[in-house]
Amino acid sequence: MAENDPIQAYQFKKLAALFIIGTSIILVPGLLAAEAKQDAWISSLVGLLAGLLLVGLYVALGSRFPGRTLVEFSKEICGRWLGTFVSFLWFTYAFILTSLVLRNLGDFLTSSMLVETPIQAIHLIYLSIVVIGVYYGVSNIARTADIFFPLVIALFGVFILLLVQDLDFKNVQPVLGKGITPVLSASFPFIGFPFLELVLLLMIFPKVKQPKQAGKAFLSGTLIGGTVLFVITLLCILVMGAENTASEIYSSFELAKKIEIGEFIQRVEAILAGIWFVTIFFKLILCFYITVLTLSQTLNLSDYRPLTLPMGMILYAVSIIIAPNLSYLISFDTKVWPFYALTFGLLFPLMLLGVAAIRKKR
Amino acid sequence: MALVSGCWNRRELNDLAVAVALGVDQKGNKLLLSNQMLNPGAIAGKEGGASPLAPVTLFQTSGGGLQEASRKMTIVSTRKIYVGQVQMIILGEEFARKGVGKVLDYLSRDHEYRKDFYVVIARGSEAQDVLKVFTPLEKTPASKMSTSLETSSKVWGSTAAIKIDELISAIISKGKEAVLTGIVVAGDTGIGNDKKNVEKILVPSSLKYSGLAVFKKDKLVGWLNEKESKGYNYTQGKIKSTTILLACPEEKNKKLAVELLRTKSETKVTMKENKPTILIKLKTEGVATDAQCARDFAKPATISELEHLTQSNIKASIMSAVKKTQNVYKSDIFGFGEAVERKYPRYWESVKSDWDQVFSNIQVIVQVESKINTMFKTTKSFSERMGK
Repeated sequence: MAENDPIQAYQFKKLAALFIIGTSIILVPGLLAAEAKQDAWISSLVGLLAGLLLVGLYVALGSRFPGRTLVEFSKEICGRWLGTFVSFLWFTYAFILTSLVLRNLGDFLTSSMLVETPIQAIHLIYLSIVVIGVYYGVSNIARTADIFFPLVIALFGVFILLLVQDLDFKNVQPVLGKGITPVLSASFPFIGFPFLELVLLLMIFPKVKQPKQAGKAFLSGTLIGGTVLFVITLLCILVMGAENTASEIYSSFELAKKIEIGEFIQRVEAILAGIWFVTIFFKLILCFYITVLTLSQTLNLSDYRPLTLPMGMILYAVSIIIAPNLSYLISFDTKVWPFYALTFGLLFPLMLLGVAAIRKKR
Repeated sequence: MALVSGCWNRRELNDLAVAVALGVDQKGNKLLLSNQMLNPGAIAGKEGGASPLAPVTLFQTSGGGLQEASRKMTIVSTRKIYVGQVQMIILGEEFARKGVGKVLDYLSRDHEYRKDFYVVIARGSEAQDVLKVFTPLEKTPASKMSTSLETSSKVWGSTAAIKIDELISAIISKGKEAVLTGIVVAGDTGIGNDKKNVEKILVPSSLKYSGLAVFKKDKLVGWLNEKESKGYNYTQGKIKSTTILLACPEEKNKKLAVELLRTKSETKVTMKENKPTILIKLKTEGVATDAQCARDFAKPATISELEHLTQSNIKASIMSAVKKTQNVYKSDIFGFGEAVERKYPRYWESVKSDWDQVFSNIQVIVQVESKINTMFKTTKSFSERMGK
């Protein structure tokens, strides 16, 4: 499976950051504030710390098997039969995540901007780009990230600057008014979405040309992404207040609607929604790339490319039927997904690491 | 020779009077034809403000038939009347009760009429009254009427935008009866004919659509109210989008609203013991748009409750339309007969002549499947956030 498709460490950093920002940027502030109210920003800090610890674990696992992907070393650790089964489970995890990401995008567009457009049409168009992108391989995705990452960070910076005049620090008081419990319970789903999903990036991790810097790039990418989410959560609370943040599903989109400077900079939310299309695009394309890669490696295929189009079609159908409505999706994201992600994002890596240590592989 | 060959029957635009709406009323034994004509001087939008003339003018003549009356109209008009631009035909209720067949032959035969105008009934009044009202937003009342009919049938759904060819085929068909939308002059009817009507912000007299007229053959037999009209339109798949108002189960005076974005209907026939049963299947997709009572839409149970309420609401309105046409009018406006004919042509031949009786005893089952996809931007309803 010698695919000569390497990426640079700095590109991996950008990919990790975009993966974290991904869909989380539109959903996370609302989910956090629903539980932790004005302390949502503390929850996001807690989440970020936990995320960094998790990434430390992933890096330890990935560095133990340099040049091998998650699926490859799972097979090595667990043996042929169990290894194939575990690899298949990784595939299901990636696949379900991909369809949820796509559905999140579709729901966001159909409930805030393109109301009368059928969600199928949005999915089809967005997915076609993703399938084509995946077909071109990960180094092309990384180079695309080179172009878009500065744009995302720049627009995000502009976004913060435009909101500075609306900040109201009374909104975060009282700090820890209800104690630490709601803060922690809010950060739990946040750790699941997006940090526990990062384990899948171990499929791309070995493709980094400079294995020594890869771990550092992973950590710093997580830090950048987590910081962006922390800042957006803090901004939502500071500008709109905890109550409004909690009741809006897409709080950061509502936040963008608040921008009004003078008479001429206003109604810019559609431009800012552009950032999200870019970040969601990267999350989706990475997830989909990982999905087809895990499947092809599970089945010992020499190339993942023949799988892209058929998997894309299956994904298109699954993204529609995975949830009957938005409400279901939200409660799935907050109540079911964290535990599901915990199994794959914490339990499995720990077990793999443990077994590898006992069986003294590498 | 080549240059003049196309000009045998040449008519210059400024020799024509363009009719945009026709009205037909019964006057004793005769028909009263009212033609709403464009007033070219008033319509041409030149700078220099509004023209003192009315945008349209009304010519009226009476005669034994429509063709005779319209030719006779030249005794009041200076120009020959051109009907290729007609947008609306309004039939007086009294005329419609006696049968609209009298005018349909001419309307479908004459080469100058196109088939793209709508037909409505002047409910409880005469067609000529409807044609005399000044309307805001649109300069000509005819285009107000046709645009408003199109829009309301698409986004509200209690009206039916029926074009002349659809009316004709429904009247001819044995397995389907016709319906037409009613139009009424609301408010102060006296002032409608005065330009002052549109000089006010709240127009004292306006045209509005109200209910569907049920036909039996070519005769109007009665009306459906708004709920029944919507129910009828669901079955015909004519509602593109509408709003459904529901009462909160715990507090009846507070409301929930669902906006339907897409609907799809299907009528199926099955035979049991030589009796047909009609199955109406309707699928709708919608959005939760309003909740006056405490609701948290982040909970899937809230959505499924709303889906059930929507389903029973739609089902009730369809059933009320079915019951009324079965029991009161005995008129198969749904086209069940056509559905039977398509599936069981032999059975249809045996009941065709007696279809009205069969129709009024036929068993109709309505299955509605409502999906609510999203609730737009917020999760908790305002009342939930206020914490009562």
